[in-house]
Order: sequence, then structure tokens, then C-alpha cells
Amino acid sequence: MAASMLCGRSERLRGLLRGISVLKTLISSTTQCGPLLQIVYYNPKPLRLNFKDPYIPDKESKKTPEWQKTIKYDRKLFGRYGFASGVDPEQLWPSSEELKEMITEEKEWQPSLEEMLTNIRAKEQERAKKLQSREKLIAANMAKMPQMVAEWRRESRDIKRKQKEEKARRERLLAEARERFGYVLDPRSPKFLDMVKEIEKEEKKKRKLLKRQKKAEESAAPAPNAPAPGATS
Amino acid sequence: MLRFAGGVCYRRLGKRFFSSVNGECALPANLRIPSNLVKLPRTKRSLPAGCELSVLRRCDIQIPVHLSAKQTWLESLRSHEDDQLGLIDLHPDVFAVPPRVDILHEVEVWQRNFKRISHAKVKSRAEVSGGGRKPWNQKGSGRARQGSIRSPLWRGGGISHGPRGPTSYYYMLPMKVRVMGLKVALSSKLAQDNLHIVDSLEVPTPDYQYLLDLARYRHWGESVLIVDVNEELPENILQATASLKMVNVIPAIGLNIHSMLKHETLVLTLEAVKYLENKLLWHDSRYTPLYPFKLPYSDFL
Amino acid sequence: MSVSKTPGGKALDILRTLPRITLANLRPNPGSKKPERRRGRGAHGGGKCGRGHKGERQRGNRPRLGFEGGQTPFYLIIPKYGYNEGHSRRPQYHPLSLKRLQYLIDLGRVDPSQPIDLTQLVNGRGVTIQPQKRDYGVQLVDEGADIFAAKVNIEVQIASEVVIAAIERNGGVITTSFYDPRSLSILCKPVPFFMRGQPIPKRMLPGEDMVPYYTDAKNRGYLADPDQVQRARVELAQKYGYVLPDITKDEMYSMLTMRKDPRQIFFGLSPGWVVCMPEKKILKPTDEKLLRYYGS
Repeated sequence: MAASMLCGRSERLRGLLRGISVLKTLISSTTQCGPLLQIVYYNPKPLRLNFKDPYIPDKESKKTPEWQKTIKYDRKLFGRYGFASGVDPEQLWPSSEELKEMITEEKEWQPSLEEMLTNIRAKEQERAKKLQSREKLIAANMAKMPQMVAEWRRESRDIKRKQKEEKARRERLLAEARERFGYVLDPRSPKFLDMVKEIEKEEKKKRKLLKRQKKAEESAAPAPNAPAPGATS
Repeated sequence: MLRFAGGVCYRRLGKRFFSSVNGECALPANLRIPSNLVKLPRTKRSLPAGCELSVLRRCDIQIPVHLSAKQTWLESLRSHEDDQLGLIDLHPDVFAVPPRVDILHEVEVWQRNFKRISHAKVKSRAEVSGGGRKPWNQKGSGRARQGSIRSPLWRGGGISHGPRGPTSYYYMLPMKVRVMGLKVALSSKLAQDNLHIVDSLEVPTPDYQYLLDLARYRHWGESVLIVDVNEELPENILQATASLKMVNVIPAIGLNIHSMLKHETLVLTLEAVKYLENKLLWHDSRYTPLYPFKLPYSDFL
Repeated sequence: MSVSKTPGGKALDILRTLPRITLANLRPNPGSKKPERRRGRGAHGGGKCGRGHKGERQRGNRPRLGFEGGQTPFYLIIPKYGYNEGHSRRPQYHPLSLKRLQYLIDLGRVDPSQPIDLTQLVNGRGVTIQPQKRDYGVQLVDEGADIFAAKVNIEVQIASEVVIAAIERNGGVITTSFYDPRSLSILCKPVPFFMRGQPIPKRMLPGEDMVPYYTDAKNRGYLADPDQVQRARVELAQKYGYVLPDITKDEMYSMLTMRKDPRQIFFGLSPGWVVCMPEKKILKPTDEKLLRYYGS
């Protein structure tokens, strides 16, 4: 359906165009431009230039402003009046020095297409390399991932366990303090802290004793004539 | 305001108006001209009902389908009786556009103002000579404190907020509005029977009295503006109009609304009509300018 | 409803019987002009003239917009962020929809029997290009792609895939090409340039950021390989499911295959030539150095 509509439209269009072109030839063969043509075709007005009395400044006179003595203005005059301006057509193009400048400038600032393409390719490769190295890094890190996760789990479990132990010990100390003093102590009070120190000392002593006994037993078992630990201290 | 101005004009211009039976029906009662003021019933300008006369001139530019050409008589300046040489066609888009008086007003105001430079200038307190010294001490004298004898409050002092220097009133109306103004002026002139088309400006004698007689014979009123295309006019008409203040000749390129409305009657030559139609209708179908107007190349359709 | 027989309408009929329009009875439309307000005159004059009591309000020396009486204003509290950074240097491409292109062609403002480039579009007042305002040309927009029915050889600066498909479906040819600002201004308004009496310059190559776009056959870039372009045309036809019309058998084959050199600005005019408008002549350089420069 749409295609048939399109076809119809293009047919009509072609007919219209043909009509217009016929009209154009007709009208151009006669002299006048009809209003239809005025709307339809691009038909600029002719150049209206003052050829009879062109203004060409006198280069020697002091009255002519400086900007009218430049080559740029000469070129403008040529563009406006053609050969009637009396300007040498050679002046229209850049002189050899100007041309040299233009060439050096072009070499400096405007790289050729091949250069640009190689540049682009190099940049592309560099970018690809960067991307690849990054991807490699990511892959290596991902390989380490399960191990790291396991470690992290263990660590967190340890921390939890320690916290639990700490809590239990604190409660035990508090209970002991209550037993010892008969009332509930503030855990920040110096009394309680002293008591904790004492208990720690006692525990240390106990541990030392235990250690000594163990050592003594050990030394007693393999070498009975070793010096007693009490004599050394 | 229109009615008031019309009232002033009645006595002077009464003979210019006529009351046709058709026209009176369309007109409110307060705008109708009293019958005692109508001296000369105008009958001569009526166009023939059927087109038995051949049309001497057709429009070069195509007339839109929904409009018909405006017809009028072709006249001649050669003799008194040659005022109905034949019929000619005028383009309706130039000579029969709706009479927009507001646009006429706008263009007229612009025409007066855009080239106006007001030189009114008064001296400020800085420019009036003297007044550098404090007239009396600030305190102790019992008088109002004053700092300068040229203060705007003083007699002989400067003027505050006065007109300053040459002021330009330049502004430009859009070109389409100016063109529209010309079209409206031409159409209203034609509608009020103040526009006459002549075949050429050939006059039998260089005597100005002949022109005056002709104008009186044809009821052209107090003042006449004659428009031709070229600036080289026939010798006779130049001599005849040189000493006349009420008959003026201008080239078509200088045609403007102010002169058209200032003169009672406008006389166009056939070439001027062609030139004006071409120039004014071109604006209807042109594109917006691509290059500035100052360039010799104009890119238009 | 009575219809007036005169072309100007009923108003002209009425005008016949009205007093003559003179300089004395012109006036603007009633209500269109507003009288100037004169404060402090008449019944309410001498007091405060409607400006309230004292202070900034009465004296009209209000602080700048956004000022909050010394507190850090809102517009300074929000930190800057470069959303619009470099907006004054970004190239702009005017949109030209296929609908509008079709409209221009239907009205005859653009001639499809000639290759269409920016000169045609600007002369037909299809687009307005201002190279000094960072315009780099036009982009074809796909609005109206389904109704586009003209066979054209068009050269634009940016075109989307749908647009390319819509043009090639009708047997047309599209090229995207780059113009540096100077070439663009010459291309848009050739006559002022010719009046300057200078040789037509070389068109510059696009910058490095634009080269990939214009060397890509998918964008129909002007620097792309013609064989690849041909392959891309077939691929696009398969993708959008239309039969690619054979250009080689077309009656307008020579017009459709017209292309500009990457260094050329106008069709048929090489860089280095001078166009003399008043005498309708073309001046070509003969100096070898010049030829080498303009030929490279």
C-alpha cells in the first residue's frame, strides 16, 4: 500500500518536473520571465556594475587612504571591474614568498591524510593495548577472588569469636567482683579496675606456675639430673 | 478624527465628492455629505458597464486567478477633450489593495522621522559658565544651603534633563511595509478618482496657463503631482511646471507617500505605471536577501 | 453576504464616497498606540508616585538578581559542573529534514536534476548557514523519510543511516563531506568571494577526530573507498529490505556520479582558479609552483 502510494507520488512529481522544464524552455525562448518562473526557478538578477565610471584610486596621490593602495584592494578592484580595473592578473595569486609561507604553514599545521590515518591507527592500537592490559589485570584479580573471599570469611568469624570471648570474660569478671564486694560494680570504677589487675596478676602467677610444673615434669622425665627451675630464678 | 478632518475638508473640497446611490447605502449617516454641499455631481468618470471598448493596455505581470484587473481611462495632456482615449488594465495587487490607512500613517511618520535630526540642545549646570564657588557658607547664614549659583533650582542656572545635542530619529521600517504603503496610497488614490493615467507628458505649449486650465477643466483640484519614469522630461512640461507651485513633476523612482498624499491628484504616465507595477510586485514573490544590499550583486528571484 | 465586485473589496467601494485621504486625516488603528505613562502628574501627583515608602524600592537601586542580602546566594552554593564545557567551540550542524528537502524540490527551489550541495540549499533558502557562528554545515534528519520520493545526488555534512537508506531507495546518491569554516563560507556565499578577486583556496582535510567518520563507507564519507561504499550500499539495501536501483542504467547517470575532489569546493572549479564575475571569465594559474601547491 505504502509502496504504491510512493510510486504515485513520484509519478506525479516527475510529471510536475517535466511540466516545469517545458515551461522553462518556453519562457527562456521568449524574453520575459513570467511570475510562475519567478517563484519556481533560481534566477538571480544580473550584475549591475558601474563600468562607465569605475572608481580606481590613484596610488601616487596622498589623498587616497592607505588601505586602498594594498594588493588586497587591487584584487577587489579586479573582482569588481575585471580587466577594466587595470590590475595585473598576476597579482591575484600569492607571490612566491607568500606561497612559501603558505606551504610551510600547511606542512606545520595540516598533516596529510596518510599521516592522520597512521596516527589514528597508532592511537587505536595504544588504546587497545591499554584495554588489554587492564583486562588481564582484572582476570588475574578475579582468579584470586575465591581464596580472598574464604580468607575474609575466616577473619570475620575469628573476630566474632574473639568478641564473644571478650564479652564472656567481662561478664565473668563482673560476677566475680559482685561476689567479692557484694554489690554491682561499675566496670569503669578504679576498684573494679584494681580487682581486674589483681586477678590478672594471679592468673599470670598461676600460668607461670603451670609452666614451671610442666617444664619440671618435662625435664624430670628425659633428664632427671637437670637443675631445678627454682635454683635458676 | 477622520470624520473631523473630513468636516473641515467639506467646504473646500465639496466639489470633489459625489454621492452615488450605491455608496450611500454602505455609508453610515454621519459620514454622508449634506446635499447642499455637493455642487458638482461627478458623472464623467464612470466606466462603461459592458466591455464594448477595446482595452489599450494589458498587465505584463500575471494577475492572480481570483482577482480581476482594475480598469480606468487613459487620458492625454495634448488637448482638453482627450480625457477618454481608451481603457487600460491596472494590476489589482498594486492599484486595488485594501486601504490600510494605518500603514499609510506608519510610513508617513517614518518618512518624516527617519531623516530628522533634532538640534535642540540646552546647557546643563556644568556647561553654564561660572558657578564654581560655593555662594555662602554651609551653616550660620540662616539661608538654604547652596553649592553653586548654576544649580537647576537657580534662576540662570543649568537645565536638568533638557534636550541634549543633535539627536537622530533614524529608524527603518521593514521594506515590505514601505512597499505596502505605496500600494495602499496608489489604490486609495485610484479609488477616490484622484489618479489619472496619461499616455505621455507631451504638452502643446510651454505655457503654464495651459496646464492650469487643463487641471481646472478636468477637475484635478488644487495640486497635481505628475510622475514619469525617466528623468529627461519633455521641454514643454518642464518649462510649464517650473513656475507653478501646485503642479510638480518627479521621476517614478522618487515617488513617495508624503508627496502623493500632499497633492490632490496624481498623474502617472503609462511607463511609470509599468515601472511601478514591476517594482512593487517583485516584492510579493522575492526571497529574503542573501547578500547585503550594498553589494552590486543582488540575489533575488 | 454580499461580494464586492472590485478587487480591493468593499473597503474601496466605501472609500469612493469618503473624504480624500490626505496627510491631515491619517491615523493609526484605534487602540494600537498606548499613551506614554507620566508618573507623578495630575490627581495623584506629588506624593510617592506609586513607588511605595522609602528604600531600595522607591529609589530603584535594587541589588543584582540572585542577591540574598549578604547570605551566600543559591547560585553560588551549587558547585560548578562542566555540562556545557566548551559549548562555544562545539561544531554545529543545522538540521535539514527529508520532508523539507522534498518540499524544496517540489516547489522547484532546489533543482534535483543537478547535484545538490550547500550552495543550492542556501540559494533556495532551504537552510541558513553562519560559518562564523561555528556552523559546519547541515545534517540530514530522517523526518519524512517515508514520504521522500526524489532522486537526488546530494552532499551534506552528516547523515544518519535511515536517511541514507531513504535516499538510496529512490536511486539517489548521498555523500557526506567536510568543509572547513573558510571553505564553507565560500561555498555558502560564492559571489562575495568572487568579488574579492582571490583564487579559490584548497579545501582543508577534516581534523583527526572527524577523519574516522568521513573515511567510513557506512556514512558514505567522501574519503571512503568507492568499492567499500558500493558494498555498503548493497548491505544497507539488504538490511532495510529494498531493491537497490541500478544507477549505471539510469538516464541521469553522469549527474548521479558527479563527485567533488576532497580538495575541491565547487563543482567544476578547481582550487587556484580565479573567477572574474564582470567578464564571465575563469583565470587559471600557469606558474608551476602555484600549480603544485594547488594541485597537491
